[in-house]
Amino acid sequence: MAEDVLAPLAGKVLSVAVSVGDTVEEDDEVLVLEAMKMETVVYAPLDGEVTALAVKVGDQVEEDDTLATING
Amino acid sequence: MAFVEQLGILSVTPGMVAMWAIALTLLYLAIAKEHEPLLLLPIGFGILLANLPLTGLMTPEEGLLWRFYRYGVEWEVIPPLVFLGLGAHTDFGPLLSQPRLVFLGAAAQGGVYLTFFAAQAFGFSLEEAATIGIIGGADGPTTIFLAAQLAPHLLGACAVAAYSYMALAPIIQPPIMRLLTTEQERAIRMKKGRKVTAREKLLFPIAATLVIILLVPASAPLIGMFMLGNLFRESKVVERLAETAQDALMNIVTIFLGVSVGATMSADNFLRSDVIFIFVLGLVAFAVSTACGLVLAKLMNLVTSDKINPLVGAAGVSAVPMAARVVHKIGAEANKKNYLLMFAMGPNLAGVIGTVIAAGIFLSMLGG
Amino acid sequence: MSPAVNVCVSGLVGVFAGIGLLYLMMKLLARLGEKAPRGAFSAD
Repeated sequence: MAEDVLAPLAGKVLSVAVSVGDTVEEDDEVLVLEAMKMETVVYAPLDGEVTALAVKVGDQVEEDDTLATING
Repeated sequence: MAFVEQLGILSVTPGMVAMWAIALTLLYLAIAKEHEPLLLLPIGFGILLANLPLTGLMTPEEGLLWRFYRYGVEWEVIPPLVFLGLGAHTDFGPLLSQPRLVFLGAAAQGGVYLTFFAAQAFGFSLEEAATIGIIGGADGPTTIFLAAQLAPHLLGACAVAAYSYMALAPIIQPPIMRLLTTEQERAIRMKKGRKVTAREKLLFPIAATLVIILLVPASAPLIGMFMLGNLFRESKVVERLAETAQDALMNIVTIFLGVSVGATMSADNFLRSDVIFIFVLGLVAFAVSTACGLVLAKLMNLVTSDKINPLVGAAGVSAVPMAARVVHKIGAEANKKNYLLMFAMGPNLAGVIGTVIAAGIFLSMLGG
Repeated sequence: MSPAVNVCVSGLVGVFAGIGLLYLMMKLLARLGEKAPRGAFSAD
């Protein structure tokens, strides 16, 4: 089952902790967003393999944008 | 020996030296610690200038700083211009998507009134008590606006207290938030609000201006400029004005505001036992406001099925966006997938509006 | 009623009235903002 990792809030991508092909566990850090001068960590919603990464460092994302896809 | 008599150093008083120490402390906080440097640096330097002897800087009708203060602050020009910039900077989306959270911004004015009551019981006049109470809103420009009208001699102390508590929100608020909420409550993940349309955001500043000013006309200078700035932003047709209001103009008025506020803090005005009271009462006001917001959020949870994380109530004080950041951080401690920032921005913005309304009511009942 | 109590009560009533009106206004805006208005004010 593939699940998209959605942006919980609008912000700028500060760092990306995974790359395509990585295996992640639920609650692993996927990336860090910066919104209103605060760092917000986005965690993996499930165990699985990262099959797509939709953003890169420096990108501006809106709330609910797809950040990555994890195939569990 | 007229020259010797003119030497500044012979006219230095111990009070002045004490004020230099305060000025240097603020400059240190601004420069070395980067605490609110945009404000504390000009305020600190203003204090230093105002406490040098024989400068005439604050001499009525003549002094440079007196003119800044008189025409900028006393004439109510600068605080509304700050609000113009804030309006151009503010996205009311988080508020519009969760209208019910607006009440938390009203509840958090509780500290303002409690402190007003306490201050007048301690012997402050009603005008002074109102100025001290409004510190609980943790809104710098509103505090300065009200102080300039009701109690100019307390302006410096109240402004510094308001800005300090705003900056200290991450230290003052968390213990209160932990005390009044359970771990489970802090872990509540709120349901996302609906998407807000561009049309709503466009209509909001116009409608809010009508509603609030018709109810509390005395709030017009602040609300009027706040909403005009926001209309610059949301109309999308005057981007140049929106940019100027939130960047260039904001920076310009910040310089004059900071220096003027600092300049009001002469040794005579500031080194009084009253001032310690003001800082203590201001702190109480801020703490009680935080608590009132939390408690109303908990009460609202008793009657609603769509649970509110009570932490967002603490953002009802208007320290934007510090209080919202604190809420986000404490929420994430309880549940790391809890993203409260945008939910907290709603009450946070409502808190600004609530504090302005409170100031408007004080002004209409006590001013003039 | 002492002047202080009077100010406190008026102030609190005023703040809640102002915020309450703002709430109603936002509900109305939400209706106007939706492309296809649906139902009454209940859709929160």
